[in-house]
Amino acid sequence: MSKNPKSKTNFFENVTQMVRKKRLIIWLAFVAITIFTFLGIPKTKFDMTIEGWFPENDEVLVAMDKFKAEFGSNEGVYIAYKPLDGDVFSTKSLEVVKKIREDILHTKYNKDSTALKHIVKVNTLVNASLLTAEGDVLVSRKLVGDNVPTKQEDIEEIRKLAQSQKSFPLLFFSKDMKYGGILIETDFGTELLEEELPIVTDEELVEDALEMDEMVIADMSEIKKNEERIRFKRADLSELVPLMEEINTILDKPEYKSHLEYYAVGNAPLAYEQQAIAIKEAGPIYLGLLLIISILLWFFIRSFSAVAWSLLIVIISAAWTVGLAGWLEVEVTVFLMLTIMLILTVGVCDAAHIFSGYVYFRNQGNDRKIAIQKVFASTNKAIVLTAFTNIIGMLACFLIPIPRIQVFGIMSAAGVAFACILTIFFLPLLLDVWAPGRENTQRKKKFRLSTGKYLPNFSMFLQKKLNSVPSIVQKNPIGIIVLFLLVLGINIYGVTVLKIDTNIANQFVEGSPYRESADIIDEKMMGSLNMEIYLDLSKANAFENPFVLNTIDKLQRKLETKYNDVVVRTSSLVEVVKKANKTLNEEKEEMYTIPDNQNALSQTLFLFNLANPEDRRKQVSDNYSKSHISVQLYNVGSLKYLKVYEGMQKDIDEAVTMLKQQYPDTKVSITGALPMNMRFVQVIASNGLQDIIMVLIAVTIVLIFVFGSIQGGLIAIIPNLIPSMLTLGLLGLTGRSVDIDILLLLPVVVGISVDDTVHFISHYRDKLMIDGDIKKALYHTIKEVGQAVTFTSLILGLGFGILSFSAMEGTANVGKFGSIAIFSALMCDLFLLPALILVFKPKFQKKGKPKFQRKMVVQK
Amino acid sequence: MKKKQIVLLVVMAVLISSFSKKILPTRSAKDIMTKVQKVAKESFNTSVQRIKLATCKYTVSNKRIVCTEEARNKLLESVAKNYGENHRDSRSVSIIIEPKKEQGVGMLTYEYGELGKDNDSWIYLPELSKVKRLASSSDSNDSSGSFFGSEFSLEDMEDLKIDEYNYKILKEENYKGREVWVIEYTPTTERAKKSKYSKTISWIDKERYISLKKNLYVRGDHYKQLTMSKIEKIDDVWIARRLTMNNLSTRTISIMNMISVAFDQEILDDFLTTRTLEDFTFRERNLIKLRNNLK
Repeated sequence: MSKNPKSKTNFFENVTQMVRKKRLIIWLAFVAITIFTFLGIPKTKFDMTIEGWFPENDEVLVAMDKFKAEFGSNEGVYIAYKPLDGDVFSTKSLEVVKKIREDILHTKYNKDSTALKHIVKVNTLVNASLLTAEGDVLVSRKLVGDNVPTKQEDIEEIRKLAQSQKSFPLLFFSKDMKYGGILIETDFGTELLEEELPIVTDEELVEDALEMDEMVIADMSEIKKNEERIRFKRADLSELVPLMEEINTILDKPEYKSHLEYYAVGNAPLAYEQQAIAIKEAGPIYLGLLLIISILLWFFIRSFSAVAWSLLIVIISAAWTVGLAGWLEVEVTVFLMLTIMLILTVGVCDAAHIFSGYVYFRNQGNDRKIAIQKVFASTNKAIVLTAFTNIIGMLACFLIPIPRIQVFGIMSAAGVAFACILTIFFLPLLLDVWAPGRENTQRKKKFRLSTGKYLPNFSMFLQKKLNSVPSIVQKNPIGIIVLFLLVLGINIYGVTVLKIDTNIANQFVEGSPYRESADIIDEKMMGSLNMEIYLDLSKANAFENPFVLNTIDKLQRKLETKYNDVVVRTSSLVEVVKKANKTLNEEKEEMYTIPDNQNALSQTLFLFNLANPEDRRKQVSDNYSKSHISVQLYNVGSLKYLKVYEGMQKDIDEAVTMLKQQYPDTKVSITGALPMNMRFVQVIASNGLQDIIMVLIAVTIVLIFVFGSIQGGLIAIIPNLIPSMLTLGLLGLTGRSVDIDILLLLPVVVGISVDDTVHFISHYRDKLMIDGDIKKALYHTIKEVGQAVTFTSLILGLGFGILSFSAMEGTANVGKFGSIAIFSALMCDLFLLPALILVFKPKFQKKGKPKFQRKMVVQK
Repeated sequence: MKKKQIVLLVVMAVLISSFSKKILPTRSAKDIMTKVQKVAKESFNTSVQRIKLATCKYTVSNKRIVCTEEARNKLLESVAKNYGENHRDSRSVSIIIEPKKEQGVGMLTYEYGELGKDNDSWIYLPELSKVKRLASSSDSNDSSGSFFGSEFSLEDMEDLKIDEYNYKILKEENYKGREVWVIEYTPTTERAKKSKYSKTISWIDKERYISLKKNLYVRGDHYKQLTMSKIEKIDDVWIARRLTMNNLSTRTISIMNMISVAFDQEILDDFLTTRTLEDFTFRERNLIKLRNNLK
């Protein structure tokens, strides 16, 4: 839309001509690339696990690998159930649970390819094993076993027995016995990383263990310590979702479902729920988004071709981005949605500018071909400039050492680049095929008559409003600046009181099934969060020392009493020993203790190992040098845990100091969902803000470079600070907390607001070059760009608004705060930017313009 | 008519031969295993062994299996006596001598050849000074318990009950210089309920009728591997003096070394009772005599 005389050799003006000349090749290339990338889309892998947030060598992952190497997978599914008859011990309830277990195992063993193969064990009330003493006979048995009792007295006996087992309540049944629990253990995450295999062993060995007997067994006194960290493949969502689907297929059979209600927690149900929502929402929400954008686009430009081509550009850009990710096998996250929103923003903004410009040139009497030529010649510069700024901003994410943020940054940058390329190279060809007002002159005339110059009635109304903007700004520019700075100040204060809170269940909005499940399990069962304290005393048989077990016992009791508002219960080898000791002493309650001499303890453990070596292996390493304490916790947000966690760590350290008196090489590491969450908070706190600051710095540098002066660059960046600060500040001021979704929304918000600012300033600069009259230039800019900017803001603001209806808290937040940011960016561009220009009178053009900028300069 | 008869004969001959080809190996696989069992059980009445059990987690380096941690060693004395028709029943007692903390821990087992009859076992923990009988309810009877903390499970230590399995010869080959049958056996439905293993493949020495190697499968996955080495003839009995159990899933290995063995010593029935577990003097008095003849 700019009309500056300038050299005709400019690439941006000639590109459209070039494109037209080679249209056949370009069409073919675009179709080919689109087909190729579409084929890549199904290959896209989603990774939403919390582990994905940490660099590979993060302490929390190292601790988890150590834990897995010794005690196996901790990736399980916990299903709480509520029988309709209100009693988990009723014959019917026991029967149903027994059948569910058998059904799962039967499918596992009899179906050739099933995700259920990953199931290692299904623990229920029915098959819970226990060792009891009947006189001098030790009986190892299942709580219920093959025959579910039908007589009430037998049921009561089982109920009593179950209650007497300290580890059963809360795991298998709630205190009121109205809820039961099924714990499904899996082998997820225990597969060794392929690259690790040669370190552990010869490749051929893994393939053919049958030949192992050919190997020489070294003398048993020779020891080759394996100091290398054993690393495991992270459980992939593409495996977890099918597991949960198959479990659900069994659970949902009418004969079970008519008696039980289920509440499942764990990574698999989490992944399943995320996917279920994605599938359910993809239709309504994204169609709604497209619909609202289409309607608004049509409303403002009154052309179906404008709607169709804008959306096509956005859809193809998104498909290229996702398809490319699929081919490159990078794992994308839910933040792909942010990338797509950014593509949408950039694509729609660019298209809106092109179409309003096109209509403008047509109305000046140019024919279609020339109008297309002219609009691209004048707008390409701004398109490249906004894309360039966005790309640099998004690439700044690459400086954050978190793979996911890097992937997000690169994909967003690629998406913006694709949108830009498609707009410049492909849109002219599309417009040649079908452009607004091409034929149908009859209707066109009628339309024109009723809609005024080149925009619908709404534009009249808008123009009126925009007319008053320059005068408002001119009246008191300093006042406006002060007002905005005040808002900024308040928001910065808001940012300082902002807290970071993250909660696994709260990624879903209130009332969603997962949140309900987590609540029920917190309230009735053993809590849906856990922590593992991994202890390596570095000395064989250390855990056969009563001093060690007593120290651990004390720590456990301390954790249970001191933090009873978050800790449901703790368990370790201590409970096993106490139980075995009691059993060996005719089930006398007073013998539920740790034997006080080492031999007695070691013989008690001998019994445990004899009775159940697999369970023993899950508790303590073969040489009794390593063990762990499992802490079951309520699922409250990380914020609440902040102090508690610190206290817990202190208490753990205290216990470790005690142990070090006898075992100086004692090492402790903490892993599990809680520590991951806490670490995650640290990661967000240190990197999330760093990320947005990087983006802002990168964008500022680009703006300084592009607008040719530091002053110009700084003035351009100030209006862009407010939308992001407003997002954070509002959260802080309303006492809410920030999660990762919002933090990653910020670079997108900066991108959106910078987009408008760049259009605004480049237009202003062009106008200013005509006669140097700042006020006049501002007046025209506000009227012309202001209109386009208002349109795009309305389109995108309302479009983002649709996302607020999502059942994923993160998506909903992006919708809410995205809209707020977009509208605040509009206010900044219409009021603050003109005020700043009026007051500081920045020269966006310097005589010694950098080369790059010269290229950017527009001409008519 | 004659022609018809000839044709009939030929057809029958073909049928029989093809039939027998199918049937014969199956029957003979069982025969072989019966013979193996007979050799193992009937060639002696009693046995006395001093056993060293060493267990460690391992890694493979340069095609050698090497411990990654200090091996856990146990020294045991084990006395067994066969009973009944074809020696199908047996009683055995094993006592830990080392390490000190477990000294005197003992286990007494009565095995019954009768189909479906569960073994009886007792353990003795000296710190408690009490004998405890181990029992399990019918639906949880898996002998997956560990034999003195090693990778050998109680089931691995049990004698095979021939009729509880189905057999087939997979192939015949040369294994470590010996001609062998490779025989696969799977538990019957009844047995499967109590066994941890879904399948066993055993390499049987054709000449000596002893197993040289066993691959043990759990639900189709190769779980453990047992190899027999240092095979010697002692007191006219072929015996593997070294048993190596490699648990592939936990990468742990246990080696059972028969340091010294003696067969057909006179052992009183009284010795194979719980008294031996509890009564140190009684036990030592009997063992001293037996130890003298160990080879």
